[in-house]
Amino acid sequence: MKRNYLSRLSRAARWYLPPAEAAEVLEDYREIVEGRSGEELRRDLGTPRAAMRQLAQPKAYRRWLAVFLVLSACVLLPAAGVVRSELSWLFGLFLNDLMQTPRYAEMLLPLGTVLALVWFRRNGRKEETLPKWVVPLLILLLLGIAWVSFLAWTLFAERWNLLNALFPEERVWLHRLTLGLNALAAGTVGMIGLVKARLADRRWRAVYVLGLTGAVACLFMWKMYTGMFWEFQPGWQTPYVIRYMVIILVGLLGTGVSLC
Amino acid sequence: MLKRDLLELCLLHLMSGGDQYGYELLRQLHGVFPDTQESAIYAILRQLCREGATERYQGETSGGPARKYYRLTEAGQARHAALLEIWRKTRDALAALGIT
Repeated sequence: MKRNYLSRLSRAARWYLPPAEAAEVLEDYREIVEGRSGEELRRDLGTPRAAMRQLAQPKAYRRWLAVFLVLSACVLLPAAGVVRSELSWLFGLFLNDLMQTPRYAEMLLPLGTVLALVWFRRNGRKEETLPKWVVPLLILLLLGIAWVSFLAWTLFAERWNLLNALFPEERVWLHRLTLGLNALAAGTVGMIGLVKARLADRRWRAVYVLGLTGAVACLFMWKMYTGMFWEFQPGWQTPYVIRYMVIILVGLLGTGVSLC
Repeated sequence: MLKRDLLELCLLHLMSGGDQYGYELLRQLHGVFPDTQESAIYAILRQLCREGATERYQGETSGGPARKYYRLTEAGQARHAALLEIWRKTRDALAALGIT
Protein backbone atom coordinates (compact mmCIF):
# COMPACT_ATOMS: atom_id res chain seq x y z
CA MET A 1 0.00 0.00 0.00
CA LYS A 2 2.89 2.32 0.85
CA ARG A 3 4.56 1.50 -2.45
CA ASN A 4 1.31 2.16 -4.23
CA TYR A 5 1.03 5.51 -2.43
CA LEU A 6 4.56 6.45 -3.48
CA SER A 7 4.01 5.56 -7.12
CA ARG A 8 0.76 7.54 -7.18
CA LEU A 9 2.54 10.42 -5.50
CA SER A 10 5.26 10.27 -8.12
CA ARG A 11 2.72 10.38 -10.97
CA ALA A 12 0.82 13.25 -9.36
CA ALA A 13 4.04 15.23 -8.78
CA ARG A 14 5.07 14.84 -12.41
CA TRP A 15 1.63 15.86 -13.64
CA TYR A 16 1.25 18.96 -11.48
CA LEU A 17 4.85 20.21 -11.24
CA PRO A 18 7.67 21.06 -13.65
CA PRO A 19 10.28 18.24 -13.83
CA ALA A 20 12.99 19.83 -11.69
CA GLU A 21 10.52 20.79 -8.96
CA ALA A 22 8.84 17.38 -9.08
CA ALA A 23 12.20 15.66 -8.56
CA GLU A 24 12.98 17.90 -5.60
CA VAL A 25 9.57 17.38 -4.01
CA LEU A 26 9.74 13.61 -4.48
CA GLU A 27 13.13 13.53 -2.82
CA ASP A 28 11.67 15.37 0.19
CA TYR A 29 8.64 13.11 0.27
CA ARG A 30 10.79 9.99 0.31
CA GLU A 31 12.07 11.22 3.63
CA ILE A 32 8.61 12.25 4.86
CA VAL A 33 6.96 8.89 4.10
CA GLU A 34 9.77 6.88 5.65
CA GLY A 35 8.60 4.68 8.49
CA ARG A 36 4.86 5.31 8.00
CA SER A 37 2.21 2.83 6.99
CA GLY A 38 -0.13 3.44 4.06
CA GLU A 39 -2.92 4.29 6.51
CA GLU A 40 -0.77 6.87 8.30
CA LEU A 41 0.29 8.38 4.99
CA ARG A 42 -3.30 8.99 3.97
CA ARG A 43 -4.15 10.49 7.37
CA ASP A 44 -1.06 12.73 7.70
CA LEU A 45 -0.50 13.72 4.09
CA GLY A 46 -3.85 13.29 2.32
CA THR A 47 -4.25 11.72 -1.09
CA PRO A 48 -1.24 11.99 -3.42
CA ARG A 49 -3.25 14.17 -5.81
CA ALA A 50 -4.35 16.58 -3.11
CA ALA A 51 -0.82 16.74 -1.70
CA MET A 52 0.67 17.66 -5.07
CA ARG A 53 -2.14 19.94 -6.20
CA GLN A 54 -1.43 22.34 -3.36
CA LEU A 55 2.20 22.56 -4.48
CA ALA A 56 1.34 23.45 -8.07
CA GLN A 57 1.87 27.05 -9.10
CA PRO A 58 -1.47 28.04 -10.65
CA LYS A 59 0.01 29.99 -13.57
CA ALA A 60 2.50 27.31 -14.60
CA TYR A 61 -0.08 24.54 -14.19
CA ARG A 62 -2.70 26.41 -16.22
CA ARG A 63 -0.12 26.89 -18.99
CA TRP A 64 0.53 23.13 -19.03
CA LEU A 65 -3.20 22.40 -19.11
CA ALA A 66 -3.61 24.76 -22.09
CA VAL A 67 -0.78 23.01 -23.95
CA PHE A 68 -2.24 19.61 -23.06
CA LEU A 69 -5.63 20.69 -24.37
CA VAL A 70 -4.20 21.90 -27.70
CA LEU A 71 -2.05 18.77 -28.15
CA SER A 72 -5.00 16.52 -27.28
CA ALA A 73 -7.22 18.33 -29.76
CA CYS A 74 -4.56 17.97 -32.48
CA VAL A 75 -4.54 14.16 -32.16
CA LEU A 76 -8.15 13.52 -31.19
CA LEU A 77 -9.91 15.72 -33.76
CA PRO A 78 -8.55 13.92 -36.84
CA ALA A 79 -9.07 10.51 -35.19
CA ALA A 80 -12.63 11.42 -34.27
CA GLY A 81 -13.09 12.91 -37.73
CA VAL A 82 -12.71 9.46 -39.27
CA VAL A 83 -15.33 7.94 -37.02
CA ARG A 84 -17.49 11.03 -37.19
CA SER A 85 -20.49 9.13 -38.44
CA GLU A 86 -20.62 7.69 -34.93
CA LEU A 87 -20.11 11.14 -33.48
CA SER A 88 -22.22 13.06 -35.96
CA TRP A 89 -24.11 14.88 -33.20
CA LEU A 90 -20.86 16.37 -31.94
CA PHE A 91 -19.48 17.28 -35.33
CA GLY A 92 -22.83 18.61 -36.39
CA LEU A 93 -22.56 21.07 -33.54
CA PHE A 94 -19.31 22.81 -34.28
CA LEU A 95 -16.66 20.70 -35.96
CA ASN A 96 -18.27 19.76 -39.22
CA ASP A 97 -16.65 22.48 -41.33
CA LEU A 98 -13.22 21.81 -39.87
CA MET A 99 -13.29 18.10 -40.58
CA GLN A 100 -14.99 18.47 -43.94
CA THR A 101 -11.96 20.43 -45.11
CA PRO A 102 -8.93 18.17 -44.91
CA ARG A 103 -6.52 21.07 -45.38
CA TYR A 104 -7.47 22.50 -41.98
CA ALA A 105 -7.12 19.10 -40.35
CA GLU A 106 -3.70 18.65 -41.96
CA MET A 107 -2.52 21.83 -40.25
CA LEU A 108 -3.03 20.06 -36.91
CA LEU A 109 0.00 17.90 -37.70
CA PRO A 110 2.67 20.65 -37.84
CA LEU A 111 0.95 22.47 -34.98
CA GLY A 112 0.93 19.40 -32.70
CA THR A 113 4.42 18.30 -33.76
CA VAL A 114 6.12 21.68 -33.25
CA LEU A 115 4.30 22.36 -29.97
CA ALA A 116 5.17 18.90 -28.58
CA LEU A 117 8.80 19.25 -29.66
CA VAL A 118 9.26 22.72 -28.18
CA TRP A 119 7.23 22.21 -24.99
CA PHE A 120 8.77 18.92 -23.92
CA ARG A 121 12.26 20.06 -24.92
CA ARG A 122 11.89 22.86 -22.36
CA ASN A 123 9.62 21.15 -19.85
CA GLY A 124 10.39 17.45 -20.12
CA ARG A 125 12.94 15.18 -18.55
CA LYS A 126 15.08 12.56 -20.22
CA GLU A 127 16.08 9.29 -18.59
CA GLU A 128 19.29 7.50 -19.43
CA THR A 129 17.59 4.71 -21.36
CA LEU A 130 14.71 4.86 -23.80
CA PRO A 131 11.44 3.73 -22.12
CA LYS A 132 10.85 0.08 -23.07
CA TRP A 133 7.35 0.54 -24.51
CA VAL A 134 8.28 3.37 -26.89
CA VAL A 135 9.73 1.18 -29.63
CA PRO A 136 6.91 -1.46 -29.70
CA LEU A 137 4.30 1.31 -29.86
CA LEU A 138 6.20 3.10 -32.62
CA ILE A 139 6.30 -0.15 -34.59
CA LEU A 140 2.56 -0.63 -34.06
CA LEU A 141 1.88 2.90 -35.32
CA LEU A 142 4.23 2.42 -38.28
CA LEU A 143 2.33 -0.72 -39.25
CA GLY A 144 -0.90 1.27 -39.19
CA ILE A 145 0.63 4.02 -41.31
CA ALA A 146 2.00 1.39 -43.72
CA TRP A 147 -1.54 0.03 -44.15
CA VAL A 148 -2.95 3.52 -44.81
CA SER A 149 -0.09 4.20 -47.24
CA PHE A 150 -0.90 0.94 -49.03
CA LEU A 151 -4.52 2.07 -49.38
CA ALA A 152 -3.24 5.43 -50.66
CA TRP A 153 -1.08 3.66 -53.22
CA THR A 154 -3.98 1.55 -54.53
CA LEU A 155 -5.98 4.75 -55.00
CA PHE A 156 -3.25 6.94 -56.49
CA ALA A 157 -1.91 4.15 -58.73
CA GLU A 158 -5.50 3.31 -59.69
CA ARG A 159 -5.14 -0.35 -58.71
CA TRP A 160 -8.87 -0.84 -58.56
CA ASN A 161 -8.57 -4.59 -59.14
CA LEU A 162 -6.39 -5.00 -56.11
CA LEU A 163 -8.75 -2.91 -54.02
CA ASN A 164 -11.76 -4.87 -55.28
CA ALA A 165 -9.99 -8.16 -54.57
CA LEU A 166 -9.24 -7.08 -51.02
CA PHE A 167 -12.64 -5.58 -50.40
CA PRO A 168 -15.30 -7.14 -52.62
CA GLU A 169 -18.71 -5.53 -52.61
CA GLU A 170 -20.04 -7.64 -49.74
CA ARG A 171 -17.03 -6.75 -47.59
CA VAL A 172 -16.60 -3.13 -48.56
CA TRP A 173 -17.51 -2.10 -45.00
CA LEU A 174 -14.26 -3.77 -43.90
CA HIS A 175 -12.34 -1.13 -45.81
CA ARG A 176 -13.92 1.66 -43.81
CA LEU A 177 -13.58 -0.32 -40.60
CA THR A 178 -9.80 -0.76 -40.98
CA LEU A 179 -9.42 2.97 -41.55
CA GLY A 180 -11.67 3.77 -38.58
CA LEU A 181 -9.89 1.35 -36.24
CA ASN A 182 -6.54 2.61 -37.45
CA ALA A 183 -7.52 6.20 -36.65
CA LEU A 184 -8.89 5.19 -33.27
CA ALA A 185 -5.72 3.27 -32.40
CA ALA A 186 -3.50 6.14 -33.61
CA GLY A 187 -5.49 8.64 -31.52
CA THR A 188 -5.47 6.44 -28.41
CA VAL A 189 -1.78 5.55 -28.62
CA GLY A 190 -0.98 9.20 -29.41
CA MET A 191 -2.76 10.26 -26.20
CA ILE A 192 -0.84 7.64 -24.21
CA GLY A 193 2.38 9.09 -25.65
CA LEU A 194 1.32 12.60 -24.67
CA VAL A 195 0.49 11.70 -21.06
CA LYS A 196 3.63 9.59 -20.67
CA ALA A 197 5.78 12.41 -22.10
CA ARG A 198 4.63 14.50 -19.14
CA LEU A 199 4.80 11.77 -16.49
CA ALA A 200 7.88 9.84 -17.55
CA ASP A 201 10.39 10.54 -20.33
CA ARG A 202 10.03 13.34 -22.88
CA ARG A 203 10.90 10.89 -25.70
CA TRP A 204 7.38 9.50 -25.33
CA ARG A 205 6.43 12.51 -27.47
CA ALA A 206 7.70 10.45 -30.44
CA VAL A 207 4.72 8.14 -29.85
CA TYR A 208 2.46 11.18 -29.71
CA VAL A 209 3.84 12.64 -32.96
CA LEU A 210 3.57 9.33 -34.84
CA GLY A 211 0.05 8.78 -33.46
CA LEU A 212 -0.86 12.25 -34.68
CA THR A 213 0.64 11.43 -38.10
CA GLY A 214 -1.36 8.21 -38.29
CA ALA A 215 -4.60 9.97 -37.32
CA VAL A 216 -4.09 12.76 -39.88
CA ALA A 217 -3.12 10.24 -42.60
CA CYS A 218 -6.29 8.24 -41.85
CA LEU A 219 -8.42 11.35 -42.04
CA PHE A 220 -6.76 12.34 -45.32
CA MET A 221 -7.51 8.95 -46.87
CA TRP A 222 -11.00 8.84 -45.43
CA LYS A 223 -11.73 12.20 -47.06
CA MET A 224 -10.23 10.92 -50.31
CA TYR A 225 -12.67 8.02 -50.31
CA THR A 226 -15.74 9.90 -49.19
CA GLY A 227 -15.16 13.45 -50.42
CA MET A 228 -15.57 12.75 -54.16
CA PHE A 229 -13.74 15.98 -54.94
CA TRP A 230 -11.17 14.44 -57.29
CA GLU A 231 -11.56 14.02 -61.05
CA PHE A 232 -10.02 11.33 -63.23
CA GLN A 233 -7.97 13.46 -65.55
CA PRO A 234 -4.34 12.62 -66.35
CA GLY A 235 -2.16 13.54 -63.38
CA TRP A 236 -5.18 14.08 -61.09
CA GLN A 237 -3.41 12.37 -58.23
CA THR A 238 -0.25 14.53 -58.20
CA PRO A 239 -1.42 17.22 -55.70
CA TYR A 240 -2.89 14.53 -53.41
CA VAL A 241 0.24 12.40 -53.57
CA ILE A 242 2.32 15.45 -52.65
CA ARG A 243 0.04 16.31 -49.75
CA TYR A 244 0.07 12.74 -48.48
CA MET A 245 3.85 12.53 -48.79
CA VAL A 246 4.21 15.80 -46.87
CA ILE A 247 2.05 14.43 -44.04
CA ILE A 248 4.16 11.28 -43.77
CA LEU A 249 7.50 13.08 -44.09
CA VAL A 250 6.63 15.73 -41.50
CA GLY A 251 5.42 12.99 -39.16
CA LEU A 252 8.49 10.80 -39.57
CA LEU A 253 10.83 13.76 -39.24
CA GLY A 254 9.00 14.93 -36.11
CA THR A 255 9.15 11.42 -34.67
CA GLY A 256 12.88 11.18 -35.32
CA VAL A 257 13.59 14.54 -33.70
CA SER A 258 11.33 13.62 -30.75
CA LEU A 259 13.52 10.63 -29.97
CA CYS A 260 16.57 12.88 -29.41
CA MET B 1 -5.53 36.29 10.42
CA LEU B 2 -6.09 33.07 8.57
CA LYS B 3 -4.89 29.66 9.69
CA ARG B 4 -2.47 29.64 6.77
CA ASP B 5 -0.90 32.86 8.08
CA LEU B 6 -0.68 31.31 11.52
CA LEU B 7 1.14 28.27 10.15
CA GLU B 8 3.44 30.56 8.20
CA LEU B 9 4.14 32.56 11.37
CA CYS B 10 4.90 29.36 13.29
CA LEU B 11 7.32 28.15 10.62
CA LEU B 12 9.11 31.50 10.46
CA HIS B 13 9.18 31.71 14.25
CA LEU B 14 10.77 28.29 14.59
CA MET B 15 13.39 29.22 12.02
CA SER B 16 14.10 32.55 13.71
CA GLY B 17 15.65 30.56 16.55
CA GLY B 18 18.19 28.99 14.20
CA ASP B 19 18.40 26.77 11.12
CA GLN B 20 15.88 23.95 11.11
CA TYR B 21 15.77 20.48 9.65
CA GLY B 22 12.83 20.46 7.19
CA TYR B 23 11.35 17.13 8.23
CA GLU B 24 11.54 18.10 11.90
CA LEU B 25 9.67 21.35 11.15
CA LEU B 26 6.81 19.40 9.60
CA ARG B 27 6.59 16.94 12.50
CA GLN B 28 6.73 19.69 15.08
CA LEU B 29 3.95 21.73 13.49
CA HIS B 30 1.82 18.70 12.78
CA GLY B 31 2.13 17.84 16.48
CA VAL B 32 0.74 21.27 17.41
CA PHE B 33 -1.89 21.36 14.65
CA PRO B 34 -2.86 17.68 14.28
CA ASP B 35 -5.87 18.51 12.08
CA THR B 36 -3.56 20.10 9.50
CA GLN B 37 -1.99 17.63 7.12
CA GLU B 38 1.77 17.66 6.78
CA SER B 39 1.42 18.07 3.04
CA ALA B 40 -0.25 21.47 3.64
CA ILE B 41 2.57 22.53 5.97
CA TYR B 42 5.13 21.35 3.42
CA ALA B 43 3.37 23.41 0.71
CA ILE B 44 3.68 26.54 2.89
CA LEU B 45 7.33 25.77 3.55
CA ARG B 46 8.03 25.50 -0.18
CA GLN B 47 6.13 28.68 -0.90
CA LEU B 48 8.19 30.56 1.67
CA CYS B 49 11.28 29.30 -0.13
CA ARG B 50 9.90 30.34 -3.51
CA GLU B 51 9.10 33.79 -2.21
CA GLY B 52 12.62 34.20 -0.87
CA ALA B 53 11.62 34.28 2.82
CA THR B 54 13.68 31.15 3.50
CA GLU B 55 16.68 29.42 2.02
CA ARG B 56 17.25 25.73 1.76
CA TYR B 57 20.56 23.89 1.95
CA GLN B 58 21.85 20.39 2.41
CA GLY B 59 23.42 19.61 5.74
CA GLU B 60 26.39 17.43 6.50
CA THR B 61 25.69 13.74 6.24
CA SER B 62 27.22 10.79 7.99
CA GLY B 63 26.36 7.96 5.64
CA GLY B 64 22.57 8.47 5.45
CA PRO B 65 20.62 10.55 2.93
CA ALA B 66 21.39 14.28 2.80
CA ARG B 67 19.24 16.31 5.20
CA LYS B 68 17.66 19.54 4.01
CA TYR B 69 17.83 22.49 6.33
CA TYR B 70 15.99 25.80 6.16
CA ARG B 71 17.11 29.23 7.33
CA LEU B 72 15.50 32.65 7.37
CA THR B 73 16.60 35.32 4.91
CA GLU B 74 16.35 39.05 5.54
CA ALA B 75 13.02 39.08 3.71
CA GLY B 76 11.91 36.21 5.92
CA GLN B 77 12.83 38.11 9.06
CA ALA B 78 10.78 41.09 7.86
CA ARG B 79 7.87 38.78 7.05
CA HIS B 80 8.17 37.18 10.48
CA ALA B 81 8.07 40.59 12.19
CA ALA B 82 5.06 41.69 10.12
CA LEU B 83 3.10 38.50 10.87
CA LEU B 84 4.00 38.71 14.54
CA GLU B 85 2.66 42.27 14.63
CA ILE B 86 -0.60 41.17 12.98
CA TRP B 87 -0.88 38.27 15.42
CA ARG B 88 -0.41 40.57 18.45
CA LYS B 89 -3.05 43.00 17.18
CA THR B 90 -5.45 40.14 16.52
CA ARG B 91 -4.82 38.69 19.95
CA ASP B 92 -5.37 42.12 21.61
CA ALA B 93 -8.54 42.69 19.61
CA LEU B 94 -9.90 39.32 20.67
CA ALA B 95 -8.90 39.97 24.29
CA ALA B 96 -10.77 43.31 24.18
CA LEU B 97 -13.87 41.31 23.28
CA GLY B 98 -13.26 38.99 26.17
CA ILE B 99 -12.08 36.13 24.01
CA THR B 100 -9.04 34.61 25.63
